[in-house]
Amino acid sequence: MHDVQPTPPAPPRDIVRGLASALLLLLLGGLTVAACKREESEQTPPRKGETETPPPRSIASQTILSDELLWSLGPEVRARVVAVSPLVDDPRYSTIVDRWPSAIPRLPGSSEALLALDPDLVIIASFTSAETRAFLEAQGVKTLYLDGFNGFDDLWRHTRAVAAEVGATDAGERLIRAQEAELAALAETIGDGPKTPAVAWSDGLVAGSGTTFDGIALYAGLTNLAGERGVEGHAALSVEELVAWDPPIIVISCEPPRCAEAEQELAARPGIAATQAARKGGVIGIPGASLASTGAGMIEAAGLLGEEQKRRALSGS
Amino acid sequence: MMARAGTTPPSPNAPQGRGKLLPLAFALWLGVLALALLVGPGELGLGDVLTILGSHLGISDASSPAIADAIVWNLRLPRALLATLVGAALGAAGALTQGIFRNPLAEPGILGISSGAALFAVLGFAFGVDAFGPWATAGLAAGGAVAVLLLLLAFIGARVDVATLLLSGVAIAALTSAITTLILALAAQRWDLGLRVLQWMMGSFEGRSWSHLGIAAPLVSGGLALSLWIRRDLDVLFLGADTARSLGVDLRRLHLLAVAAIGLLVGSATALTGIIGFVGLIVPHLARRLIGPSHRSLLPLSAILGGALLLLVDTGTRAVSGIVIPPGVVTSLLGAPAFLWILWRQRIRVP
Repeated sequence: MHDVQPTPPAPPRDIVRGLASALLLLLLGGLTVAACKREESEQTPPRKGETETPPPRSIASQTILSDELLWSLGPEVRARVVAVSPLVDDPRYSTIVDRWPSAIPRLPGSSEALLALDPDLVIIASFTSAETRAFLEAQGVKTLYLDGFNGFDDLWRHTRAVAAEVGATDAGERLIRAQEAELAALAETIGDGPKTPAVAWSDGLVAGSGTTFDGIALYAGLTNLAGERGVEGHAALSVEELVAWDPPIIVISCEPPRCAEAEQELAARPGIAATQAARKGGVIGIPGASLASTGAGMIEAAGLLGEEQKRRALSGS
Repeated sequence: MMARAGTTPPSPNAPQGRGKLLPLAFALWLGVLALALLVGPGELGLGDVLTILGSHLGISDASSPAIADAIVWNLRLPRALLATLVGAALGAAGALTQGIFRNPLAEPGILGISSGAALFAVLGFAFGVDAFGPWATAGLAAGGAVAVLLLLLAFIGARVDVATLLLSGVAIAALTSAITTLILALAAQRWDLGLRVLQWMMGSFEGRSWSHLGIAAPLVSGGLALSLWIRRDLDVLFLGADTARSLGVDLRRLHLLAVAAIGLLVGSATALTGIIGFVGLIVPHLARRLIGPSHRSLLPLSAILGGALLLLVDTGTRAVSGIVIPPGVVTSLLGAPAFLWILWRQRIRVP
């Protein structure tokens, strides 16, 4: 004789379906609420008439862009900064080297070190590790998340977000107006003449459309050839492809004071030496901190590029 | 690990038809070379390519546009020849490694030479030595390969033991890889360093020119010559270490010369193009199946097939995608399954 194990009655299909639907709805609802909350906490400044929370007393910055913005927003904001990013003093990436007092710690993104400073606000970016962000949020630390670093529109969006979050909205607007004025002055010096195609190429990577070079080229009187050729974002481009494009201008990233050396080295490279850029002095080195900047350095890069073109045109090279 | 590479020792009577394999392999390589010169941007036809080659070789007086000339003569041809040379070096080094270990799973990378070269190159990137010129990285990588080689020789000492050599190589590879990772971790904030190291470690022929070829040619030729010099002793070693010793083979000398040849071949290849894995595994295995285990034919065939394979991989990646796909990635994608297949076959043979 075999023992027959009693089997539990199978749940009716309707109940199973109902439970599944309810779970799905709950999941979707949760995700929607989370997404809305995230959006609100990210970059929406308080509306007029709403009760404004007091500005943060201690701010930790984890991106070079926010280091730059906090510095530019004036002494009152600077006084509340308790940490900046570790690259702020590196001349290859930062345009505000040695401006922040050495007493302000340069934090390399360690969650523990950040938490020890007890900041009211931590400014992080899309490249900050997801774990660090989740940890900070779990500890109740307010975070401002910056995402998208592709040109002047993004710069001004981030400027407004940071300024609003630290209670310096007017200073942020003044900063933006000053930058717009600088760009307008640049545009005036360039005029409406034909624009020269240029390629920003460094370490085998080219800046295509949707990168900061779009804006830099525009205000320097150039066009982004890689963007016109359908390259999006930063992409690998072989030397052979670059030579086949035969651009009149090749913009490279360099480290002062060795920019002239870097230009000569590239212009003499096999293959590249045959391009218009190499033959007619169109290889232009721009300091990496400006060319790779997602902040005010972009204006500097456009200005330098414009000036360099004029200088070379005058000297006949 | 010490199982025999082939099922049979080298036979003095090579099967019929195998003598034609070397010219056939050479013809195959020539076909791939022609393809390599035609594939790429610039819309250059066969006539354009032949005109450019002819004008440089003094056969024709016709001139070509400067850009087309630069693309074919200064970029595609040296790149194709370098890919051939590196492939030949890795293929021959693989045959040599498998011969010395008498194991078809042995691969030059197992000695840690590639990892040593990579470590020194990464140190150069981290400390900005690469800024001194394009040769700095190549020089450092070669230095790393030589350092690992010397370390291996020191480990071997007076007593030649293949197992010790193999395990020393594995340990050195692990050590150098760990130090490389440590350097990257310490410089985690420098995204450009990470990018450079990654690009270099994946292996590439991008931007290589005649000057790179000028460095590679004598080193690889030296390594190949050394390999061919010890071919007879390698064949005898196939019969077993004791038999080889009884037949008068100086095993210590043989191992030292083999290690020197492998170091020269892999070190120069890694120094100039970065790490390209698994060519030294796939190619000798294929060559051995085609021509048999005698190193007299196996080494040249492995070199030619290695050159053709790497050139084909490089040409293929250039042809199918506008994105620069490192050949090292493709060879690893091909090589890893091949490695597992060989391993699986060995498990069947050896209960």
